[in-house]
Amino acid sequence: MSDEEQRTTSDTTSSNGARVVPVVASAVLAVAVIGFFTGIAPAPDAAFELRGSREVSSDLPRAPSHADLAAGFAAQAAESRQLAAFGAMAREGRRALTEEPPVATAEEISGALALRQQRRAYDGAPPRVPHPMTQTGSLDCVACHQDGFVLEGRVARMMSHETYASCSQCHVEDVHSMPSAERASVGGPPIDTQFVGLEAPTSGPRAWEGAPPVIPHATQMRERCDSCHGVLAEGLRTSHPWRQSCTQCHAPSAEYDLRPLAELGPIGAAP
Amino acid sequence: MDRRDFLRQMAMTAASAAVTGSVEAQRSVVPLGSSPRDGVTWNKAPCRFCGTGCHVQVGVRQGRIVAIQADPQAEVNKGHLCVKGYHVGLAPYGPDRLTRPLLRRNGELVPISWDQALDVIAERIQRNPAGFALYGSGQWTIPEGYAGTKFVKAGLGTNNIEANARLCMASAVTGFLATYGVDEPASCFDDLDRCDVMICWGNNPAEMHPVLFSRFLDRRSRGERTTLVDIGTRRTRTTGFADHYLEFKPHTDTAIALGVMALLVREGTYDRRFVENHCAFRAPQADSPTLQGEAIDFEAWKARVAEYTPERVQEISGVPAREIRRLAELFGNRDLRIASFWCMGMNQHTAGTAINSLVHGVHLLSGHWGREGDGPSSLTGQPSACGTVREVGTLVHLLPGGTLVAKPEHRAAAERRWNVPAGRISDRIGPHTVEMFRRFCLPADQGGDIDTIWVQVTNPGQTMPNATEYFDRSRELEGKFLIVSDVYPTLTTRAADLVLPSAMWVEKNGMFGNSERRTQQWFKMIEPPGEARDDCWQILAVARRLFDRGFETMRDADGKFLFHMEDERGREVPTWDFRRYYDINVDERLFEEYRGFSTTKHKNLAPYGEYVRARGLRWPVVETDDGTWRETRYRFVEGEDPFVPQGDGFQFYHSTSEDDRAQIWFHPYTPPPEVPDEEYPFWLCTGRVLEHWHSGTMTMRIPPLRRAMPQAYVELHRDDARRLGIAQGDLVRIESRRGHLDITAWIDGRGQPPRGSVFVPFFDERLRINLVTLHEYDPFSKQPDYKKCAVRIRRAPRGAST
Repeated sequence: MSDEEQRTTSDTTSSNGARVVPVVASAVLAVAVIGFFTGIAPAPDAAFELRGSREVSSDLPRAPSHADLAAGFAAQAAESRQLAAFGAMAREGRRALTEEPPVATAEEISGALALRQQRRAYDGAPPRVPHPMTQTGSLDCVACHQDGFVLEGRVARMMSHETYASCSQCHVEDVHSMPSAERASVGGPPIDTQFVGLEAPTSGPRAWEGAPPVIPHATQMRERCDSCHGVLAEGLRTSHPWRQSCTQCHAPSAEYDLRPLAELGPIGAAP
Repeated sequence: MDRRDFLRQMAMTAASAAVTGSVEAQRSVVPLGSSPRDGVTWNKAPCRFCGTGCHVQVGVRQGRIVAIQADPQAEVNKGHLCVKGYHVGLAPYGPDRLTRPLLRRNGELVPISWDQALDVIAERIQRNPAGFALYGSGQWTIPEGYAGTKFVKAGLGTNNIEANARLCMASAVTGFLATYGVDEPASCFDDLDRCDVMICWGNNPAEMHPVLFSRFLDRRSRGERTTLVDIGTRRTRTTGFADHYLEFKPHTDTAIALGVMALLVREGTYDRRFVENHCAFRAPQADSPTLQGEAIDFEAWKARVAEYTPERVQEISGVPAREIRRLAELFGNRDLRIASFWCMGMNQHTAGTAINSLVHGVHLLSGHWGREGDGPSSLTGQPSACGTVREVGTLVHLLPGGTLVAKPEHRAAAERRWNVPAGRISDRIGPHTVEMFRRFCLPADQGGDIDTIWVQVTNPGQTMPNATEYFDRSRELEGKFLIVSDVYPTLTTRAADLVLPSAMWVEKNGMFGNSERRTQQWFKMIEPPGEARDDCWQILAVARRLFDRGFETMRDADGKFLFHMEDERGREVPTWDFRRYYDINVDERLFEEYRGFSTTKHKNLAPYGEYVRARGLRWPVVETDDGTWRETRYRFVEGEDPFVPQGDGFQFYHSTSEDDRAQIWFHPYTPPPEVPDEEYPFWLCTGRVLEHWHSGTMTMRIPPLRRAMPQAYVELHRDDARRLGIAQGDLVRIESRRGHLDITAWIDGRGQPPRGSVFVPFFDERLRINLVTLHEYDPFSKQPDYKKCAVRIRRAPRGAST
């Protein structure tokens, strides 16, 4: 994509200290809402195949350019996330007040977990990248993954952790973009590993029926819950995306995070 | 990449994902409501790969590793890892682990019993103990290396023990010795959290030490202002993050360092007080130079350095004079904190000792030394290059704890500690790695006096330079016997006469020492497959077999077995019987014995139990008045180093000049032994990539890493490619005076070499670039230069294939 294609028409200046909702944020909101109505995450096995015409229709919002990012796009992240959440609330709000929130079916949850599992050697491994990456060090990744978006039915996930600069330190191409790759499949050490990785948990335990479930996985590097449970997430999406402070009700586990337990002593022991 | 390319590659991605084996396919999604983490036990271990020394938590369920978590309590990595570290748990699970000893009979490797294997080795040693050599690496754990050293130096009475670290960081060692009189960095990784400027000298930490690089880089994400200066010979991922990139002609980094020093002196911006109080000056002798060199006065030193004006440096190195001035201005500003880091670029260098010494000199002269964030540090590629090879001393000239074979009092001390008769330790320093393999590749009547090499934890068949002459040749000779302990088939095991299956990483107890003097410990967590056994056990078992066969020097002065160990009730434990090996903690016994050596050179180590509790401790570790053990961040610095008295500020207490001063060196710029000419017009540089670790024996079997980086390639400049009619993906023939290789061209890929220069990574056993490289080495460190030799390139002839 050329810079010109990517450049947004937004003017992100503020006047008199009044906050002007930037077009960029609106664009994210628009993507989120459109995505929500049109069904976002594709079926796992079809996730990365080409479908139909790949021409981008002119009324789709443009992705932010690097210049926009430098101008403070990242700083607006929380704001745009909130706007997306408000979008969901606008749609579901009445129902949320009067009815049970929608619950993902077992198939939807399994589908979402299967999709996650495709890109991870075990639960907790950094996901691999299902598209070619720039080979040299740069911040290109955050253009799409800072807050995530949907384009033509494909979800660019929001990163689950704070922004680190060297993305390729942990996330590598799932299949390389090296030229003449057919030679690479000839010979060499066998690749059929006997390793079987830890499976993802499917739900967190509740103290009683109706209690908020505790977080069933480590939260280290997964502190941005809406990466997997936000409005862009099908199957694992929260039933109440407008609530922004997740750990108010859902407790992380010191044990799963491998925080030192010895110093705490046995839980429930007399002081 | 344009949109069309992107989409095309996306389609290819989906297609090839279906072809290559997927680690995930073997796993089903668990039923709803289950907690897969129940039943997983977690235990700490340092990562198996590089010298950073990240701690991981290893998740084990029903005897198998199922997950890895970055250890949030680890000071080195602070809850982060790199992609290799996150997948280190897959390393033991390749489908072709070696599980039985194999002996070559009629050209075929056939299974034999361990008992037979021990007899074969014992016979070889008994036939000619002086012709036997043990060759390991910085992947030996500390107790393994210690057992190996004691076995060879006390048990066989030779000094024929070397390690791959000779090929990796020997010039860093000689740089430290020449400058401070004692090995290993004075500073530590805490510099990364505090420096204003990070200077990478011929170094690509974004790929080779990613966790350390991010420890520095991520400070920018938090709003701190930092400057990254990349001094290199090709553009890399590190360059992508750099504020300044100084591209120099290969080998001319010595001129850059000299140019900076010349300007500091000329402008008067050097740290006069620090230099007057704490530094002395030194240069190599005119004829027969030694590592110690000779003392010269400041005036003489200044006069020699002054020749390296910015203009002259530009002429030699190709770096513009204004960039040399800018670098000198940085060093001239004492308000900044400047941390220099280097790795193979400065070490694999025929002037490796010189450039290491000169970079230390730039820091000492400018006073950028001894404050947090302000100092020079070398990085290592192997997990225990420091802990084992350098500290235990698994090299021909060393004894444990940094003591020396050459010093009679050090030999005598080791003999007392090992309880062997005086004179047992030979004063004859054995052949260094390149020389050892040269002699292994020569017939006995032509000076080839090494006839048996036992290789553990390394892969010289892939990593020796000029491999035809320095490895393959031995396989054609009668009477040469190669024993190899490893976990997977490698180029070395395939060439071996006897193959021994080894346990790896958390299949055994272990200890590593990382690049910042941090000693680390872990416990065995899973069983090795089949008959694979600990490398340390293998050494003890061979020693015992020799003892049983009446080999007298496997006895100590009291007639006991050299590795005699008792349980808490005073009964001898037959550690040579693998069923009994874990009756006691052999690692702890060996470490406690080794620890006694550590005080001579002020490398004091704590008792084993302290390391069980800690995520590593940086030596010197000394006991405080309240009985706790305290580590050291900065050596030779008052208030940090327990051996520096109050009031001195700094004290270089192992000074070569014996006056507590560090040495600032002058080394002239000298050209490399082989330079491109009309016949071989290109520079060849070799190195590593993010996804693969060294010769790839583990990481090539880890699907996520293999899929991301499936094969080696040659990087070349777009203009050179166009001129030679080479297209992206073409097969290219790289040819030197020593050998050739046909390999895929990748233009504007991971790195970008300048015109006239190509780069090839060495991880791929199918594409052995070391057939092409040069064996020339640094005169002091004996470390070969894998970073430069002359080659020619052209499109591979028709019918050639990789």
